[in-house]
Amino acid sequence: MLSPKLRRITQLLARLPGVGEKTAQRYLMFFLTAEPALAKDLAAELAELHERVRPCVRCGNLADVERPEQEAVCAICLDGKRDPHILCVVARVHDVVAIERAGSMRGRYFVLGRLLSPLEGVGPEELPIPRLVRRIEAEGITEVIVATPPSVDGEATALLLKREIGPLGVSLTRIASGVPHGGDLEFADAITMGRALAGRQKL
Amino acid sequence: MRPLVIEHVSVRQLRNLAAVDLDFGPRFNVVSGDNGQGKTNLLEALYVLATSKSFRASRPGELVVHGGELGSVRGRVREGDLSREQSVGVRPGARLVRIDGKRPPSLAAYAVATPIVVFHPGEIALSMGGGSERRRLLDRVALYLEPSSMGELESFARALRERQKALEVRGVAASDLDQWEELVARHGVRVMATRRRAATELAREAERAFERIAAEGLVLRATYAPGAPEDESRFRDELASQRARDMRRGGAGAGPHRDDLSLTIGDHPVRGVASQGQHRAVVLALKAAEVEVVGAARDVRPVLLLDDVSSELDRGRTAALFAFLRAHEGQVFLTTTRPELIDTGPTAGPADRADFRVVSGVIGPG
Repeated sequence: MLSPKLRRITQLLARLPGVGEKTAQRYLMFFLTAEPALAKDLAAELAELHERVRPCVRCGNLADVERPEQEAVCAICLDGKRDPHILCVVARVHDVVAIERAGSMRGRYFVLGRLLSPLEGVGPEELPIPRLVRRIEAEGITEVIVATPPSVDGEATALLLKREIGPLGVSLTRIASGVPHGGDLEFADAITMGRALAGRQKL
Repeated sequence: MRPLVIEHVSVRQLRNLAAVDLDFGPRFNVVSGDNGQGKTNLLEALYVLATSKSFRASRPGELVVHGGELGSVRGRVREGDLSREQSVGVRPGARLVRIDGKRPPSLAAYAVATPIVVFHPGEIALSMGGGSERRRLLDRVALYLEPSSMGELESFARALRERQKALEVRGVAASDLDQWEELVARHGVRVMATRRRAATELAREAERAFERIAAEGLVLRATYAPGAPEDESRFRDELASQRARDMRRGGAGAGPHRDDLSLTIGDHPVRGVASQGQHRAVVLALKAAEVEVVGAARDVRPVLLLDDVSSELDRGRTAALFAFLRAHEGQVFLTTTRPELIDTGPTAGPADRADFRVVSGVIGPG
């Protein structure tokens, strides 16, 4: 039986995604038996997380700030080696991380924060499209890559962006969808395979 | 067509079946017992094993024993010379499927591995009822013809709900309606194209089967009746022009959700003119067609499940049904309250007919 204090920590840990009661207890026991500095350091970092990490004012990606009053600008926006004419539009910060892992996107990002979905209370007015349009115009962006997910809501958002950004005269592309690298074709699901065939390219 | 046989099944905590382990014969398996003992639950467990879904509950959680957490069905299925282990775990809100211990790429891939066709009394709605039962028939068949059809149907339904919500909240001038309608039409025409294929195949087989079953001179015709223009841009135009009406009605007037398989006997619509017996013959013809089309798509003889069939049919048509079942040559499961009335033809042992008896969720030899 856990003491009230340990029980409370377990409950907090169990709120993390993918963590249940048992895993939470394992984490707790780990903190209790490991170096005390580990718990202290983690606690200190978490305590100031919301003051020190904020959405980047230019793209919406996460950025570190030194002082609370400082304007947040992320590392990608500050990176002078990025191609300033290419902008990749994504739904969430996770997607920036996923695309950055590939390492082949040379431009910068714009995080929408959500996808168009009336069912979830998100209409066109809830999307930061005016801010996106202003940025494209102000920074002389020539190519916009739409990397919203291939779900129905992701497609609808892409179509909305096409309508809003299309008239600006920039090159507008949508990421392809297809079979994963290194895998056998037999393991691709039918929808992915269908998309890969529909989006086939000339050899 | 190659034989397909469910050789063994282990059911745990599914409805009133706490723990059932059975070996089955390759032909007729007759399950008898009084009403409410769990006969249909066994058929349902076999259907879950083959498709991961029930033919009764729409939510998987309802299948689980009251108070139980996880129900499961595990089985050995032989297809031609190869046998495989399949399993389905069910708990409220989730289904876990495995083939030989491995996760299939999708639920749709699992569902087409072991073709199975169920005949149950509620299916009289195929002939007498509205379009929903017939659309479900088209979609079951479509899954075998075009594995991506389930995904297209889900995408269509999602886009349609999003459009309806936009209409409801922001009215006919909502600025994102064009985008939703483009997606409704894009996915909708794919749904209709696959259903048309399914309908064409079903119609050919159903018309042929009806000739054998029904009285001389009666001709059944089945034709696909799409609920919207099958051309993508015409479908979009139709949606755009009907926004006000769709908003008032709380649903779209056009779309594959209004599809039907229209049935006529001698140029008259079956609904309205057919006798009780003719309705039953139409249902049997459609089910025979499902067996044929699904079997041909996978080149196996589907497993047949018949729930409480003898009570539903008059004598002449019971004979027609059993003639069909004997000609099928595949594995058949039947439930009945009166096993002595089940005419499985000449039998020479359990390879031809195995009998089981169900008493309060416990199943033993009959």
